[in-house]
Amino acid sequence: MADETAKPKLEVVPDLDEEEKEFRALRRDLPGVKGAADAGILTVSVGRQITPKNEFYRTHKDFRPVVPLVTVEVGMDHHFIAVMPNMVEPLASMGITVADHTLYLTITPSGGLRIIPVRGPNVEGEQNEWDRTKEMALIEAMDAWKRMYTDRANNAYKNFPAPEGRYGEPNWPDIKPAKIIRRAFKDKGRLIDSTDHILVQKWAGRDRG
Amino acid sequence: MTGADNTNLLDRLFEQDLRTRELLNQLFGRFPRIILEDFEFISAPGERPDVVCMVFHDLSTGQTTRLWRDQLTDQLPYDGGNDTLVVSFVFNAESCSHLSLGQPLPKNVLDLSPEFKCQVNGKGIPRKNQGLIGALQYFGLSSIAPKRKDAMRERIMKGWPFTAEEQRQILDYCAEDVEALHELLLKLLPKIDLPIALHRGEAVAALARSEQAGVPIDMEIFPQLADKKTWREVRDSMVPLVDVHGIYVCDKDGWHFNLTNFEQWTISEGINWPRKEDTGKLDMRRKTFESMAKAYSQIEPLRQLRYIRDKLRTIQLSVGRDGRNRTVLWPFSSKTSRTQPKAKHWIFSPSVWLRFLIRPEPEKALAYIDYSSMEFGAAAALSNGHCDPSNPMLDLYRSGDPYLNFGKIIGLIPSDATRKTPGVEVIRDRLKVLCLGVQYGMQTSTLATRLGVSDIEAHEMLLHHRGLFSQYWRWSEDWLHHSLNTGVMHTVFGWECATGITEFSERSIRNWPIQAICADMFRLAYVWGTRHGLTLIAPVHDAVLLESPEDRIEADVALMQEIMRRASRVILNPTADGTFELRTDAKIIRYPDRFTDSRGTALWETVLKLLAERGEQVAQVVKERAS
Repeated sequence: MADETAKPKLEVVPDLDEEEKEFRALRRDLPGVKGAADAGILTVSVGRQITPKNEFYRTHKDFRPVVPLVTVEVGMDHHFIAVMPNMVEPLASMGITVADHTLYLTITPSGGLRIIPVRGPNVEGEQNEWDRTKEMALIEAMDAWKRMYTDRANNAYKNFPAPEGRYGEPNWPDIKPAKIIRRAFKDKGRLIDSTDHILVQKWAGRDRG
Repeated sequence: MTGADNTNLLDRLFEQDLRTRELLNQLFGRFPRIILEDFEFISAPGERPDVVCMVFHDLSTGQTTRLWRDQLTDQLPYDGGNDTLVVSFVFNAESCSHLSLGQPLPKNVLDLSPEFKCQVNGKGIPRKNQGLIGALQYFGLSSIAPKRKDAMRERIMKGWPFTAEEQRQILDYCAEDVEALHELLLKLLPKIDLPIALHRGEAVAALARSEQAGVPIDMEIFPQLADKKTWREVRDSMVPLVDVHGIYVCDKDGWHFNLTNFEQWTISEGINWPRKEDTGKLDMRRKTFESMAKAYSQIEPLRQLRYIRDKLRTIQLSVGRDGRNRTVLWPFSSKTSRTQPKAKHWIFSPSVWLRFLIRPEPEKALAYIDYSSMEFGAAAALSNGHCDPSNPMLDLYRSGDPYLNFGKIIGLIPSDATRKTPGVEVIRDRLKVLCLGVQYGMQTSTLATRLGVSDIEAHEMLLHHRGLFSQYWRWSEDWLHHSLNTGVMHTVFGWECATGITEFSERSIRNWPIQAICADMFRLAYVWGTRHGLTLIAPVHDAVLLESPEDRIEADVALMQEIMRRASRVILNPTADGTFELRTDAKIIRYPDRFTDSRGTALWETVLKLLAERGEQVAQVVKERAS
């Protein structure tokens, strides 16, 4: 085979433009598939850290609601249970502490969504160092891909940037914040909105016992 | 069923009938003359069809004409101009018959075969039931009994001469097919998108021209390989020459691939060969070998040797007396609408070394023109603008070599390296496997095996890909869900595939739009090039083989490259002002050079050496006998 890979000179072929128009007219537009996958999202995970650990992540700039939460230990896991404002007082009367958490929505390069709740400062304005550094890390990740590590020696989180240009901009699912909250808490039975909630019943029963 | 139901059904049938009539009237409005045609011919491997007879029915006059071979000339028996629509089933057969008679091809063609395939694609209809009889049965229409059809085909294939009674029977049989076409046309008409269908008909005709032209083969070497005894000897002799690692073992029955030896060799080479999940045994499928050979170049000679030992017991290339390889290209055969010629008859089969047999005739030249990184570019274009104005995938394609530049971005290749930098080509090839594999859902463990890296490294690479090309991934995810929700996928040129009946596989659904849109693009380029009188003699996945007189080859290559660029622009840009287009590469082969492919060089040289040695032995024997 001749070693001839150089680009051949182009000849001007005048009638190709007309044919291009003719062929273009045959195009049938592809379906607008945008958002098709989002409609199928049935759950959004909630956890203390990005999963898998040390994965690069980004934080959503606008999704930042403050929600009263109570944490419940289930086996080795911690479940975050959202509490409606009207239920804070009844729970307090049972000795269940409810604290305001800021919810941050994160995404990994492979599209994994997770809500990371960060406990806010207490009434004296003091915040746990783990929580404070975690929040700083999450805020930093609003503009760049980051990777979070635990720094046990200092009881804090560390945040490292991804190499520049390695990842493109994250593609956030096109679903409304209310739906995210519903998928993350209500659909899993993790929203206490009345005394009929099974956890409230359990806690009340414990007190009675 | 109640009386009311019956009335509704009758009403519906009547409405459908009215709709079909209305569509037929519209068709007549566009084409005053509609011809349904069918040929009967004798086909021999590698030869042009030997036409026996033709029957055509003029829908506008209701007249059927039966013509035996001696009544056919080099002119169409009807006006095949702008006002005529010719309807056929598998028009490539009809095209080749017209061409072998020296007739021009009709201008407007409606081939019902791709139209039917498009309607049933992905609906679980076996391929063997997608012929004319299968299509008629699908719509509940009476058809020729398969046994009668087989008997008639068998008699025709026996060849000349035919008695007067046989002539009558063959013409009757041919006329039955034409009648069936009429019925089928009425059934398919409501779903036919005429402009697209005419384009498909033109594509079938263009591909038939390639079938007719054939690929020039070196007739000094081919007859030696086609000789069963010679090939058997060469096939046996090449084992120790190619298998330098001693994987094959020889016993009284000949050479055998030894799995234990192979396993030991892969371990010594540090290759983590894939295993079957259920049994834990080595996965020895052909696809696995192909994929592994792309990642490890040392596997390629063994892969080809294995293919030769398992599949190429005889060389069955269909080569005609004129030294051209011809076989039916079967347009629209795959679910993505690509052509699927039978591998054992086709020169562009998995035996890459056989392609060295391709050699231009004196005063002729060939050009192999292929799209660069076609699937990567198509994926970039399909996902463009899906959720973000920026598109790193598109930028990477535009930057030149996307696989090399991807390696630079993720830090596997130094930023100042080129393909010629030592060690870079291997990494680039692996990144190509990565980019194409993960594009349709290859998972971490498979990728790790293919690339010879740990699961953690493969996971990291996948993350890089997903992170950098997040827009593509988002689009792919949306495409998957949309396809499963709606139950159908289609391309810009209307090729369809149903999902949820036989198409469940996530990988397959993700991969389909890319492959199918590449098929659209390639077909458009083929049609366009043929319109401009270029002699395209073979479609080869994302490449064409062009034949020209030696003094015109550069101009023809330039024209074809321009056409291919424009075809990509039409298919990949939703609007006319879109500028994204795919690049092409061209290699010109002039007589007396031959087609080459680096993957097959070693094996080809081995075969030549063995043929030469055998030639010398034969000459020696002849000399001894003579003395």
